[in-house]
Parts: sequence; C-alpha cells; structure tokens
Amino acid sequence: MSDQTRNLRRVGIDTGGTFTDAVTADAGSGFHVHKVPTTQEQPARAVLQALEILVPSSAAVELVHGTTHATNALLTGRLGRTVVVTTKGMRDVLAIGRQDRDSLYQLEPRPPRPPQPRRLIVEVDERLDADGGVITRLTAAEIKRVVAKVAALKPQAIAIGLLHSYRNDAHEQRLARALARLKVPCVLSSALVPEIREYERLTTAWADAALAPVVAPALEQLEQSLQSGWAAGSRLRVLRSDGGTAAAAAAATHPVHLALSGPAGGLAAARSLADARGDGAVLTLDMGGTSTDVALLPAGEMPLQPMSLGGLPLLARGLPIHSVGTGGGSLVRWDAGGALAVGPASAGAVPGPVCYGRGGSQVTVTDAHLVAGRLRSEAFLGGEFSLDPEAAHAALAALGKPAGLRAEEAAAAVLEIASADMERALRRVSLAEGHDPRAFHLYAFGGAGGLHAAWVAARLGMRGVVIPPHAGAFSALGMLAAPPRRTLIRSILEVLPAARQRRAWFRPLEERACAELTAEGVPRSHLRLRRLLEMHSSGQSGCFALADGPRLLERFHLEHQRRFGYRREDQPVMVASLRLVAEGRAQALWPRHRCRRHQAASRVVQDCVFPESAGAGNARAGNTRAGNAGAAPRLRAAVHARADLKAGARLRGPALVTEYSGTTVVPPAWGAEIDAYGALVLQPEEKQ
Amino acid sequence: MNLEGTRLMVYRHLFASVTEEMGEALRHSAISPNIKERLDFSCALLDADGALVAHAAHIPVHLGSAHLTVPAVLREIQPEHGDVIVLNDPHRGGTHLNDVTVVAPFYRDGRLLGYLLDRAHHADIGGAEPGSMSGARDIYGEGLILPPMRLLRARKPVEDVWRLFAANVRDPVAGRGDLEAQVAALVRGARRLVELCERFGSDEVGRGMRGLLDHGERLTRSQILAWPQRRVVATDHLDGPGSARIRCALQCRNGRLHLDFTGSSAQVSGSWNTHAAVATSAVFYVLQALSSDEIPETSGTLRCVDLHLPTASVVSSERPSGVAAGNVETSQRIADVVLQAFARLLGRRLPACSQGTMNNLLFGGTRADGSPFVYYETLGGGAGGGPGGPGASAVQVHMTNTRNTPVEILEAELPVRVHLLAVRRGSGGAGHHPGGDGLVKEIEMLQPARVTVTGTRRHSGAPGAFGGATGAPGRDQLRPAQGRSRRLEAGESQDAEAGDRIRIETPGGGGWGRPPPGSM
Repeated sequence: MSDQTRNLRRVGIDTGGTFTDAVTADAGSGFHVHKVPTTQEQPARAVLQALEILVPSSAAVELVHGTTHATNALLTGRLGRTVVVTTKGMRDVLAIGRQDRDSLYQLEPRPPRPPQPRRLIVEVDERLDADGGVITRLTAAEIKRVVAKVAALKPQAIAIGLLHSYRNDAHEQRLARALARLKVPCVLSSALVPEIREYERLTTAWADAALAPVVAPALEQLEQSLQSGWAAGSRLRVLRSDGGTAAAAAAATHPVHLALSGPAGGLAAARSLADARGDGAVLTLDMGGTSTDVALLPAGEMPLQPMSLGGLPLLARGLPIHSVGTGGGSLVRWDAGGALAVGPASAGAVPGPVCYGRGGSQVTVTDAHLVAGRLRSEAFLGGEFSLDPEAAHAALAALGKPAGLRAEEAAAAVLEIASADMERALRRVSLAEGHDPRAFHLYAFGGAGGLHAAWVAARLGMRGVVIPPHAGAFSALGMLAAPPRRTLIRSILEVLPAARQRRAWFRPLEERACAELTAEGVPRSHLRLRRLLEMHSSGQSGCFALADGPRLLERFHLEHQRRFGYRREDQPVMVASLRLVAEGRAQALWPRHRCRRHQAASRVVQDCVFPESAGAGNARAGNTRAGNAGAAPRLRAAVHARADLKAGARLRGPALVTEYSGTTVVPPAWGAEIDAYGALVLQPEEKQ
Repeated sequence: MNLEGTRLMVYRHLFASVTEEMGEALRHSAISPNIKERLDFSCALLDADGALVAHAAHIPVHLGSAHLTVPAVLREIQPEHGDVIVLNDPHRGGTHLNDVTVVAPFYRDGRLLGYLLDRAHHADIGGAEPGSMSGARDIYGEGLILPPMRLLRARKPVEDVWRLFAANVRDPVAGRGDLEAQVAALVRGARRLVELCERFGSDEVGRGMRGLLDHGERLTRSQILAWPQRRVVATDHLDGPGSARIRCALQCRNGRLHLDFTGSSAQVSGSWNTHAAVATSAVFYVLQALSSDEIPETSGTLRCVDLHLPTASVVSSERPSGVAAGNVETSQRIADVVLQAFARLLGRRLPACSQGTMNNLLFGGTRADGSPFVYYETLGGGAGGGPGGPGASAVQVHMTNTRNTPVEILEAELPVRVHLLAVRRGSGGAGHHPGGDGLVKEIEMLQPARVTVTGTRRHSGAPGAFGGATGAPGRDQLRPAQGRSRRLEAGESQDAEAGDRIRIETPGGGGWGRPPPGSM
C-alpha cells in the first residue's frame, strides 16, 4: 500500500435499525467495537459519535460505511424529482411493470411499481430493433424538442431508458450529451445495466437517478465532516450491494448500488472469515428481531444477482439475500384450524416479546427460548437489559394449555416451527441453486442466530456451525473486510465464442474498472481482475456465471448437469452477459492466534430444554407419537461466557455460550471449540 | 386444538419446501418463454389418495384440478415405482390440452406414500391453429389429446410416447425440452421426499400429510361458520360467440359451503366449456382471498364445500366439448359470479368486478428462415375498485397471475414489433373508488401469421358495485398496413400479413360506490 494509505486508521461503521456499530482492527490487540444508538433522523450523527470514541481527531481516518440511506429512500419514496426519457409508445412501461400482482390471493391487488408520475415521463421519437439496428432515426430536431421538454419539467435528475439500448447505446448517448447542459445527474440505462428487459432496466436507471439528489449530498456532507474533524487525508468509502467498497464520490454517482449496503456487510465478513478458515462454500443465517436473512456464499467468487427491493426489480448486482418472516419477535398463536403458528406478524422492538416487560402480551420466539432455558435472563445484552422469565413462563403456559402442554413443551413446539421455517429458507437458497448443504458450514450471526444454528445445521446434515467473533457487530466487521471493488456488466446475447473473442469483449470493461479504481487511490499493482461469463443453454433462462478460462464449454455442461440434472449438448451455449470484477486488496482482518487445546471449565449450569434432540425428528429413536414435544429432554447445560474462552478452548454440549450480543446453544452430542481466529465452531460429535 | 397441532406448521414448511424446489428445477430447465418468463406452471405433492397436500402455485386454475388427477389416472393405469404418467385430457384429470401434466407415484419400502405432480402450459399442443387455443368446434380440433399414459416406465423413457408427442406439436424441440424439464422436476421432488422419510420415518410423513388435510378442513370450516347463513344468488354472462349464462346459488350452512350452479347454460359448441376442476379452482381462490386466516392450499378445504354442477353444462361439460377458452375465460366468469354472490352475502367488504378475462393472444407462422414460431400470452387489465381504494390498472386478476413478456424479449425471439404498450386511460368504471384501467398493446407482424385473440367483456364491461359504474369493455382489432381495420372476434383466427398490426385494448375494472357528484 502507498504510505498515505498506511497511515490511515480504518474504521467500519454500520448503521442498523437500533444500533450503529463501529469497529477498528488492530494487528496486536484485535478488534475494538463500539455501539451507539442509531440517530434515526440524522444517521450521520451517530456515525460521527462512534468515530470520535474510536479514533482521536489527530489521526487521519478512512471510514468504510454501510449506509441504509438509499434503501430507506427507495422504501419510503423520499426521492429526487426525476424525469424519465423513453421510446415513443413505451411511456407506461414503469406503470405496467410485469403486470403481475405481488401475491396470488388478492381481491384488491396493489402491485409495487416505481412511484414515477406520468407527467414526468417524456417520450422520444426513435426506434431500434432487437439487433440494435436503427428503425426510426433520432433526429437533431427531436433531440432539441426533448431537451426543451425535459428542461421545462425542472428535473433534479434524469433517467434515459430506450428500447434495445443494451444492444446499441448511440441514441441514449446522443440524448445524454444534449441533456448535459441541464447540469443534473443523468443516468443511461445502457451504461448502468446494459441488459435485456426494458421494465427492469428502466426501473434500475430510474432508481439510480431518483436517489442521486438525496444520497449524494448526505455522503458529501459526511465526508466533509471527516475532513474537518480529523487529520488531513481523511476520507469516506461506502460499502455497495456487491460486497465491495467505492470512494464516496463514486458511490454518490450511482447510488442504486447502495440498495443492499447494510446487509452486504455481514456477508462480506462471513466470506472473509471463511477464506481465512479455509471453509469453501458456506451458508449464512442472520436472525434478527423481525426476520431472518439467509444466503449461500460459494467458495471464491461472491455470488451476485439482480436485486429486489420493496418489490422493485433492480438489475444492479447484489449479494443474494433471502429473507423469511421468522425472527426473535415473531408472534405465536393458534390459528383457527388448531395449528400452532409462528409469524409473520412481529412484536417488533415495542412492545416486543413478553419477557421484555414493555407491554407485550403475545408469545414470541424469544419468549420460547427464555422459557426453554436457552437464554440467560441476566446476561441479555451484557446485562444492560433484564428479562422477565416469570411473565414469559405464564404466557407460554397459557399458550400450551388448550393442547394440554406445559410451558416448556409449548416452547419446544414453537422453536421447532421457527427452525423448520429457517430450514426451508436455507434449502431454497442452496438446493434450488443445485448446491448440497451437507458439504457446508453454517455461519450464524445477528442477535439470535446462535440459538437455532446447530439445530438447523443438524437438520440439513451440515458439517458444523461457525459463530464468528463479535457476531453482534458482524456487519461493521464486513465494512473492514470488504476490498475496493467494481462490478461491471455488459450484455452480449451471443453464442459462446473462442477465448480470443472473449478477451476482446472484456477489454473495455477492464480499462474502465482499472481507471475508476486507480482514480480512487488503489495502486494498479494491487488490482486483481476476474472475468465471468453469465451463460445459459440456448432457449433456457437458467443463467449462471462461470470464470473465463480454459475448458469453458465443458465446465458449462458440468455445471448444467449439477444444477438441472442433465447435459444439454445438442443446443448452443449462449453468453447472456459479461461480468468483470476488479478489486484492490482487502485488509488482512483475521490474525491467527496460537491455539492451545484445552477443556473449558464452567461452574455455572442452567436447566435447558433441547427440542433439537427430541420428538419425531429422530424417528430411529423409536419415537412414534406425533407432536411428541414432551420428549424434548431437559438437561443441565454448562454456561460459558465467550469472553473467557481462549483460542483452543473446547467444550461439550449440552452447553450455552453467552456473549454481549447473543447466546449460542450447543446441543447434546455436539461439541464446540474456539478456533485460531476466535470463531466459535460447533460440530456434531460424529463429525469431529 | 390437539397435540398434533404443534407440528402442523413444521410439516407445512417441509412439504412446501419440496414443491418449491420442484418449481425451481422446472423454471430453470424449461425452454419456452411461457414457462420460464411467465411462470405458467405449478407443482404439487399429493397423498396416497391423490389429495393435495402442498402446492407451489403460480396459477390458481391449476390448484383446483390437482386433486382430480390421480383418481382419473387410477381409473385407467396402475402406475408402479419408477413410472411417470403424462396426461392432458381435460375430461380425465387435465385442465385444458395445453396444460401437460406429469405425475409419479412415490413408493417407500414398497408402500405407496403419495404422488408428485407438475403441470405446465405448453405454448402449442397441435390442433387446427397455432397455440391450440382458438375456436375449435370440439376438443378434437383443439390439439393432441393425451389420456393417462406412461411417459417413463421403470425410469426409462417410453420413446413411442415421446415421438408421438413431438410429431403432434408445432415446435417439437421446445415441446420435448419442456416435457423433459417437467420430468426433471419430479425427480428432484422425489429425492427430497426420500430425505424426509429417512429423517422422520415414512409413517410420520404420511401422518403429517393427513394432519395438514384435517387442518385445512378445520380452518375452512371456522371461516364458513363466521359468515351469514342466508341463501344468495348471482348471475353473469359470457359475451361474444360463446355466450353462456353462469348462475350460482350460494349458502353457508353448519360450517359447509353449498354452491349450486343449476341454471347455468348447457354446454356450448366451441371451446367455452369447463369442467369441475375450474369451478373448484374458482371456489378455492375466493375462499383463500376472503379468509382472514391464511388457509394452506390443500384438499382439506374442499371437504367443507358441496359443489353442485349440472351435467353437460358449461360449468361441467362432457366429451367431446372443447374447453380451451373455458379454462382461461369461463373460469374468470365463474370467479366473478362467486364473488358477486359473496358481495350479496357480505356487502361492501367485496370489491367491484375486475376485468374478468385473460385476453389470450395467440399467433404463429413461419420465420424468414423457414422455422416455425408460436406465441401465447395473456394480458392484464383493470381491477375493480374496492373498499381499500381505486382498482389497480393493467394487472392480472383473479384466476391468473402470469407476467407479461418484455417487449425486448418478444422482439428478440419473434418476428414482431411492439408499437404501443400503454395504460388504457379512462377505461375504469367511475365510482367512489373507480375501477382500474385496462391496457393497450399494439403489435406489428413482421411475417405473415395466423392470429387469434380470445377475450370476453368485449360487449359489456365489468359491472360496478354499490353504485359504481361499469368499466369499459375490451376491444381487439386487426389493423392492416393497407385498408380498414377489422374487429377480431373472440376465438376466431385470422390471417395477418407482414406489416399488419394487432391492437388489443383490455377491459377496465368496475367502479365501487357512488361516484362523487359531477364526476360522471
């Protein structure tokens, strides 16, 4: 790294719904984490507060920030006044979308569409065909008319999306040149996401344009605060949805790439830890209060796919995050058909679970954990917040009564349902993509991940569970772990050619990515380029990305066989798009500690219910009674404070490991160990 | 509430997971845009009696037919382990000929545990016209009829059946590829069921299936018990050449829902007829949409429903009646009628009528290079205004929820050019909450093509409710490059020359509640 970069103090800060987490890494003493309450109206205030505590103003700081600004602006519709320019006849493309409703059983559908007023959409008389050939020429007179019309609408930003511009961008480019004199951000769909499908491409361009007037000033202001509050050379980088970082100015230019900035942090951290541990592909489980996010991270390349936010499709690539409705705050009830049901309604933070004592009266998943003895009421959030086990017990007893269940039995039943929902989600993200989860570890983080992780991993037959260090501030760690990155996409839609032609296709993308990153101060010698082709068998839509290189065709057929169960060699292999990933070096984040294997001691024990080793889930144990929740064993579990466990410490289930941000359950017949990186690794004894 | 109640949702998640995975496998490996882009398919898990236990649904009309398939198969064939049955005969467990169904028994330790099924709409299944959905006089003219037959025997393809299939469809490469994808989805589902049996034991898996069916029954009954027991009647018509009356008398009694379609027209010539699966699907849909609790999609619901369908009628036709349009159009009208009956029972909770059609567009011909092309899509329109606000515009309603094909995909894959895709302003009926607008799509044929548009609500629009106005009816035209525009009658195929345009204007939704004064 250059001298200038070396003197910078790097801090990762993630703005979450409740807390803003800040982390610095220090080669000698490890991570320093600081949490401050998020300041909802002005998120930057909490960011600067946290920063002041971790970095003295005499130092220069490089802040890597995970921002929810773009996400929230899109979800609430607080956006800049945007004019959309599109091909004649296509003015209503944004209003019509894909014409489907967001769920089947709706008598009054309200399908999500970009909230773009029709009067701010301008049609232009031009037309290309599907090969990019010109059918209606874009005349100088027409350009003049369009510019005048757009100017009269007084836009803060402009999005241009013409039919088939992913094939030929000449018309979009000419319009953009003419519109430049309005001096507002102007987004070209053909430059941002040159891919087929007009609604999705135009929606992406629209979102990018509409976000610019709100996101850019906020980032600019934060960077100015850094530069005035800390030493010269201080600067801001922002985590994008692809799990890489960009300089503030670049991030502000195309804010649509920030749509999943926050959640990308956890995945970037998981990938970085998995690389350090040599784990290959992993599944992630991030269980929060209202929902649980799951994702599959294959070895090597980060999997990127088009995103969806609030029902709007964004072609910009992001890490694939799949949310399910079950979180710690999910409400439990008997439905009218006599089934115990969990979620999707949530108690949220207020009133929250019954055990929070803030007025919640309906049982939640968190209450079930507490009654099952899987949470330590006095250790919750480092003891800053005490739980009310009696209230939770009474609520679960009342819940179980109609079915003749004791409180603990009812709790076991609730936890079983929540785990089944997570299992379904993990299957969807792995098996549906042709991966077999049995070869993977499950990386669990977020407040409640450790409570379910071993259970779900056992059901999926996975190798084990990894609870990273600082699992409660893991996203912020990801900000530190993420390298500077550019992901560029180019639509191709041609039969797979020879290597020489592929290299020629990639060249302009390489040049652009390198130029952008070196302009951000990334030394050219640090740049690593990865060339991927998103391919499919002719006529099929199932697209997947493979790295360019030797034997590409054969690797395609192998992958097709793995995903779909058969080879389709009689049809040509098509290249849908190119994906170029350029990145600088990531900070080496995970120092290896010396591991001295030893048995961890604990004098604290707690009675704890383990539904994971009970009931019908274990048919071979001879349990034949359906719903035999009573069979969940109640065992004496050793309680360990994670802070006391050094590298190499081993313990056997049943046990609980508590830390500030959450609790990890080690079920019977499972063992756990702190590895050289400080991660808590759980494995079934049979696999140890 | 019984002890099993604590585990029902566990089963529900796990069984749903099986069908979801089948759906992913099918979507990824299918060939035709209708399946991969428009998601016109569904996957199901059935118990050993053929009752529906779990369903990954995109298409409501498939839902009510899944449980009829296995009994129809068993009347003719006793499938064994490793067999895959194919069928599409609407009078023997199918829906309409384009929906090709594959179903396989699932055996465990020599015992039948259940069935896996998937159903996908093939863009062409032979017959008189490309797309196989135009106005044939009877079912023989609609396309290839597949009675239940073995497509695989002991896991080996029965090549004769595959060859017969390929020989009868206009695009055999796509047809065969889609069928292969359908079989691959079954294989994937079976693999997952094996895992569930290993984990729980097959007895427990069977018990889970029965438990979910009982649960669905209890949920549905509790919903029906909450409704008034008054008898109500509603009637509506199909306009156009298939003109037929649909009448439904509805009454909730002691936790059972009685629906009597006596008074509906006798079966008609042409393809506007339907059979029990369609009415069942419509009832399923309406119950789900009205229910305050989410009712899992199982046959348990149907145990609380008494459906009386007069024989040889438009709602329960017999061979050789055609059903191509019935499946997509009459199904919408049946849903409209059941909803109108519920509006009489439950009042202003119900919205006004939505567009009430799928606006089926079919065309086919030969490309410049001599290869054939066939295309099918359905178009959205106006949703009815309702208690929650104005109706949505240009959206699929009730019995379908398929996506449109993007203009860029359409033009890249077919010799056509789309000149206009727009919301059809002013087509929604006026009201306190007005109906949503339909849409307009204008497509130029770049090669000669045979064109059919099958839609209803072309003569009279979607009725308003509680004082709201009727929505504008739809309109379909062939606009030749030279000469006068011609009206395209529903279900009637016409030749279009290169340069001719098809213009479809879909109906608006009905208005809800009296419009504010001065607004009409």
